[in-house]
Amino acid sequence: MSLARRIVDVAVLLSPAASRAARAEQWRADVRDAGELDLRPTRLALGALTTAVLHRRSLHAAASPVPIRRTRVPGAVRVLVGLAFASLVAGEVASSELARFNGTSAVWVLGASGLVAFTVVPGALLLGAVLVSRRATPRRRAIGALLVLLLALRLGTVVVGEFRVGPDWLWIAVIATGVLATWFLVQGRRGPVWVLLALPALTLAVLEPQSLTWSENPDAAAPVLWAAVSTPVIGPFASALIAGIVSPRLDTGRSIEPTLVDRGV
Amino acid sequence: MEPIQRVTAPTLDVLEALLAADGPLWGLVIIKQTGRPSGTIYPVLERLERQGWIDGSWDDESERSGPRRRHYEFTPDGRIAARELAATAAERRATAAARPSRAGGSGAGRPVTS
Repeated sequence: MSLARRIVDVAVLLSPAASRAARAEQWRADVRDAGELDLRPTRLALGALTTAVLHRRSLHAAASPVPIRRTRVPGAVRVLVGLAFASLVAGEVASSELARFNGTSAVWVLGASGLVAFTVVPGALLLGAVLVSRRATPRRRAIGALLVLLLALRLGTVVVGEFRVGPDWLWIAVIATGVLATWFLVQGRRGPVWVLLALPALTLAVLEPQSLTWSENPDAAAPVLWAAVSTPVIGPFASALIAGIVSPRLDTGRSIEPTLVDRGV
Repeated sequence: MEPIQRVTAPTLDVLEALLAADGPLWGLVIIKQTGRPSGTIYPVLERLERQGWIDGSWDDESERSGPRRRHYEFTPDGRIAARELAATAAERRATAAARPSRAGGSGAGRPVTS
């Protein structure tokens, strides 16, 4: 199967359900016959992909009694999530500076501040974001809140080195993925958006190639652990944040009230 | 048929390509003739079809197997509205072209003499 055809298949997958059959046939025919008009199949396919991602109104949306609404995240939620990530970064910076203050009393202050900024504050802010998500049902908010608490707790134990089961870099990827999955659950995301859950792990694999090697002796992997508790720590969470931001575009959605403003092309 | 809220240049190009055609036009030919990316033209075609300006139909060429090509042609109301839009756009272009250029300053239009 050609690259263009694969891209079209992904584009079809990302399209609203009502449009998939028609788009699949049209785009596959165009990619197949592009050569007749001296057009490049891959370029056509990429155009189909951007259409699928950016133009999610079904061809039959106007006929539907309930137009599809793009789920949007309220401003308060964005602020809370943004602050949570900023606190994570601040905590990581504080932790990375600890070595410079070894032997001084400041190391305890810096260590405690870093721990709080890295675990407690983001956990609290994310908990707040979950609880103020008006579009989520009370049940989803409750489940999301519980998951956020558990993930923040686990992140704290990873940082302080307690309950060490497996390498820390693995837990960083798991926790970042868990945060993203919790977010999708709370927001009621549907469809291919859940594929984005792979992003934190992929990011970690790119930033920390050594993380691809499983060490059965955590102590022997200490240098690797420290390398993992640096920029590769933030990377998975950053990719989770990005995935959360773009996820509404991939959400196949639920039919609710009006209405999309039809922005002209 | 719903009116187009904002007539963009790609939309106009698509309308003009369809107006110039005799009968249904293959979507890929529209992409070729307008010279615009498929990511621009596909949404325009879908929107025009959704708003009742054009009708899409599947190619019924029996000799070709596999996925069918999609052709487009105007609805009766769509053709009338498209002609009006195209005429308005042509008038605006003519007006803009006839306007004296300011870039050459006061010397615009005067022949250069040695």
